[in-house]
Amino acid sequence: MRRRRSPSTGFVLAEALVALAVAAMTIALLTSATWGLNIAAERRAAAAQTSAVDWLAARRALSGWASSVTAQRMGNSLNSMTGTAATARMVVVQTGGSGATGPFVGELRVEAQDEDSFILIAALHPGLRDARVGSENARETQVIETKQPMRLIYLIPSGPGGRGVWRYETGSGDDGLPLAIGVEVGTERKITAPIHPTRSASCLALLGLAGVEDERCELR
Amino acid sequence: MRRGAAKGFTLIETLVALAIAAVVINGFYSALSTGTLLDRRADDQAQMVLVASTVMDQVGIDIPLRLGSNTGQAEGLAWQLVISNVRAADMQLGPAYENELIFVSVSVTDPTGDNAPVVLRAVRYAQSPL
Repeated sequence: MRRRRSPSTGFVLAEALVALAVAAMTIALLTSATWGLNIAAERRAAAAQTSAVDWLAARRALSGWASSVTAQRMGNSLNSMTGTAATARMVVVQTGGSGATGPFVGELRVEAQDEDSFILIAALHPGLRDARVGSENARETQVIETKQPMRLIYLIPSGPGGRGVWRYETGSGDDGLPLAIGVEVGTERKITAPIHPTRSASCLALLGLAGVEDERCELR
Repeated sequence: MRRGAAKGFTLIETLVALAIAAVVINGFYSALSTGTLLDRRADDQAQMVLVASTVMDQVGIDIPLRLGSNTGQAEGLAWQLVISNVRAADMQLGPAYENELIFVSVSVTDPTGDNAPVVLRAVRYAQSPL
C-alpha cells in the first residue's frame, strides 16, 4: 500500500533560518556581555582600592591632616604631635569644619588585615588634648587599602643643611614638628604632605599678631 | 501539491528583522565600547593628575625650590617641572622682594599621545628670596 504524503506541518525554511539567526545572535550577545562583565570585574579587582582616584583622595586626606597641625598651648609643641611608622596623632584646637566641639586628637593609623592587606585609617578622638593617648570612642574612616606593607614616614628638620631627614618616627619632639609626613608603600613613598604651620594656632589666637614674632609660639 | 501554502516569513520580513536586530546590537556595542573607553581615559587622566600632584608636593621637600626646570618619569608618564619667578607687580601684592614669589608649573604628558597633557600651576612663597 502506498503511503499518502501529508502536508508539511513543521517549520518552513525561512522560519527555521530566522530562528537559527535569532538564537545565534542571542548566544553572541550573551557571550559578549559575559566577556565584558569578566573584563570589568578583572579591572575592578586589579584596581582594588589602589586606583589613581583612590590615591588622589588619600593624598587630599593626608594633606588636610597635615595642614591642621597645631599646638595645644602657648610655647608647648611637645605632645602636640607624635608619630611612628604605624600611627600618627596630633592635637587639633580648631573646630571649624571638624564637627568636633573642642580640641581633639586626629589620628592616622596603619592596620594589617592579612598578609597582603594593609589599611590606612583616619580617626578622630574627641575631647583629647594629648597626642600620646587615644580613646575608644573614636570616629574612624578607611582612607586607602594596599596589598604591600604601608608605613608612615616623617621629614624631621635636622640633618645636613637643615633640609631634613626622613624617619619612621617623630622622636621626642625636641626637633620640633616634622616638615612633612608621607605614606610609604613597599619601598616607594606614594604621598608627600608638607606640614606648613610654623606657629601655634592657639598661641596666635591668644596673642594676636604679636604671636607671629613671639618665640613661644614657634612650632619649629 | 499547491504552491503557496507555506505561511512562514517572507524574505523582506526576514531582512527587515535582521536589519533591526543589527541596529539594536550595534547600539549596545557602541554604548559598551564608548563606556569602556571613557572609563579608561578617566583612569589615565586621574593617574596623570596624581603624578603631577605628587611632583608638586615634592617641590621644596625632595626637589629644591630653585629657579630652573626639571624632568622625570613616573608611572610610565613623563613630567616636566618649571620653577620661575613672579613679578610682584603682576600679582598686585604691593611691595615684595625680587624672587620672593615663585611660580611652579608641573606638566605631565602621556608618551603614547592618547591623552591630553595635565598641567598644575602654583605660586609659592620663598621665605628667603632666591
